[in-house]
Order: sequence, then structure tokens, then C-alpha cells
Amino acid sequence: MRYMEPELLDRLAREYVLGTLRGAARRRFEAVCRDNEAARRSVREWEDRLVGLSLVLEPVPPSAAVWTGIRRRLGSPARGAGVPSPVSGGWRFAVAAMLALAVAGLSWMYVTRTGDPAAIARLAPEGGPAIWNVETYPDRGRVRIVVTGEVPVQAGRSYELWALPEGGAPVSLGLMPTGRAEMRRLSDAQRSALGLSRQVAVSLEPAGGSPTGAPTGPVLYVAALAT
Amino acid sequence: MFEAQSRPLTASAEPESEAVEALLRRCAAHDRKAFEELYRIAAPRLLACLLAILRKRDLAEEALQDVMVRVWQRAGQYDGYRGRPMAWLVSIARYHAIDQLRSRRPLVALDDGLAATLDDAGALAVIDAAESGRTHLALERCLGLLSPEQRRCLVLAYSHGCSHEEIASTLASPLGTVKSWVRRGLTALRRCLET
Repeated sequence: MRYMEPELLDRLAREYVLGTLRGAARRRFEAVCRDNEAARRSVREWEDRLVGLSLVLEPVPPSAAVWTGIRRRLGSPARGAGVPSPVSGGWRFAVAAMLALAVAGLSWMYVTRTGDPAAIARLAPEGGPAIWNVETYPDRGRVRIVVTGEVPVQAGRSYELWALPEGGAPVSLGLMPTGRAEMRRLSDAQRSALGLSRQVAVSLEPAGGSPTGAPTGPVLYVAALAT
Repeated sequence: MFEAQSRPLTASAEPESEAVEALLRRCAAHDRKAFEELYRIAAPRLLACLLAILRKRDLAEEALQDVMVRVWQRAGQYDGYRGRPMAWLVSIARYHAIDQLRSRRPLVALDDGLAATLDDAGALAVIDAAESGRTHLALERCLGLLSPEQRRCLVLAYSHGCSHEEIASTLASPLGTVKSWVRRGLTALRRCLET
């Protein structure tokens, strides 16, 4: 990295924070920041100086779909947020417990009644035993992921499952469980992507899953959906 | 059309820094409840920032999802010493929105109402009674010392994601003049904040 004068660095930092540094120049400055502490410090100082300008904007409550989408991307079951529950205290716990039992019971009925999945993909390292089985139940718009082997530990990373629709981009089906089996409901987009897929894949992503909505890490396992 | 509103004369306090910082620490330890609480506190303000820059509700909400997922993933990188968690959160949101702009924002002119609020020093009254108040009162005072043109340039760029070219067209001024207003505005602002 070539030497940069403090004054030039600061000029770039303030235009970066203000947002007027654009395009390739913006990318180049981000690259400088990655290994230049003085640049990062300059950026932080300008962020602190200017953040008050963001307070002139009236806060805008997001719609409920935003939270649902976030939870889906983080690979956890959708749950309400932002809307205070009318039920509180001990009742809240009791109701939650009953709901959980009901859901567990329904899931069990569902699993026992649906019988065989439409297709199974066995995700395994080359020449090794399967780590996961992905079972699809397209009629019900669900997949079940069963951990069948030892999941290699990757600290600070997550395994993410992708449908590979023919002629389209991979579509995330959420994170892979590392412990118990999971039955997962699919969104319409996931369902149609899976309907067009003959294979699924697992990639290694930052903890919590791909930040971009597309695989960003190495694709570790690919398996055919066998019917 | 703009869906974001500039607030006229008052600004609510920045969510309490210490509380937000504590939530970020718990997020770094993968505490989902803390993340939910953080979302409740911070998301409306971040959405305001995103909406002001992206100008379309669907794009802004999509961006908000990206931003919150990033916040969850990067919570461990938040350096506590900065003591200004909202600056960290707002920066993640603003930079993401600016990156989205390149291909996506159609050229939308500022509407007259919004442009008018930029003239009003009251629109910049970022009054904050909370513990972060000192800095914001200082910012307000220092913005008051800028020329109206300099002030408008900074707000258009920072809050609304306008490029130099867009500011020039909004203010019907030559590009070189706008660049010099921005430069001098920032220089004067820093000098004032440091005294």
C-alpha cells in the first residue's frame, strides 16, 4: 500500500462518510481502509461528527414482513417481533408452551401421516458417509433436514442449503441444522425454486448465512434429489 | 416520490447509547432476544436513513433486511470504545444504501417541500437531551455557522445520498461551486466541532 498523506486520507474519509465519494474511488478507499488504521480512524471520526444529521429524519416503522424476512435469512423459525403481545407474564409462558406442544404434535402427525418424502438428497463428502439427508415434501411446501453424520465444526461459520433451479440462480433454503432434524416450511419462491431443481447444495457462509442472498463461500456438498 | 419526511423543529433523542451497546454485545454472543430488541429500537431509524437515500419503500425495506443481517453477523466487530453505537449502525445502513444507488435509483428530483425544509435552520435542530446531547448540540451550533448553501449541500449528501451532480442540479448551481461548498462546509464543521 502506497503511503498516503494524512491530509489526503482525511479528505477521502470525509467524502466517503458524506457519501459523495462514489464508484471506483469509493471501492479503492474501502480497500485502503482494510489495512490502514489511520484511514479507519479518520472514517470513524467523521461518522461520529456527522451522525447527528441522521436524526433530522423521522423514524419510519418497518412493515412486519421485514422482520419475518430477517428471521428466515438467519435460519430460525419465524416469530413475531415489533408487535407487543397482548398476553403477558405467566400466561404468556403458558400459552407459548401450549402452542409449542400443539405445533410439536401437529408436526408429528404431519411426519407420520405424510409417509415418504417425494425426493431425498444425501449430502456427503466425496467417498464418505452422508452428513445430512434433505427430504422434500413439495405438495406441502416443506423440507425436512436430518443430520445423519458428524457435521464438521467450522467456528464462526454456518452451513447454508441452496436449491439449484435449472437455468436460475441458487435460492437459499436456510441454514443446515447441526443437531436435531428440522422440518422447515418453504416460502413460495423457495418452493418454486426447489420444484425446478434436480440438485441441492451446501455452502460454507459467514455465521448466520450468506449476507448477499447468493452463495458467497465455497460450495462443499452437492447432491441429486433422488425420487 | 419521497416517503421520508424531514422533521420540522424537533428531533427525538438518540436511543440511549449504553442500552444499544449492551444489546450489541449480547448479539455478538448470539443472543437472539437481544437482536430482536435491537431491531425494535434501531430499525425505524435505520429505515428512515435508507428511505431517504433509496426513496422507494420496497427497496428500503429490502435493504433494511440486508443491514440487520449484517449487524447480526458483525456485532462481534463493534468496537466498544467508540461508545457511539448508533453511529456504527447508521453507517452500516447508509453505506449499504449508497452502494445500492449505483444501479438502482432513478433520478428523482427533490420535492419542493423537502427542499424548502433544507433552508430552515430548524430542520437541523438535532436536539438531544440524552447523554449524547453534547455532540449533537455542538453539531447543531456548528451547522448554524455554515452558509445556507454549505448546510444544504451537507444535508443533501449525507441524509439523502445525493452525489455532487445531483446536488448541483437540485440547487441549480455549477458543479465546481457545489464541490467547494461541500469541502468548505466540512472543513468549517470540523474546525467548529474541535473548539
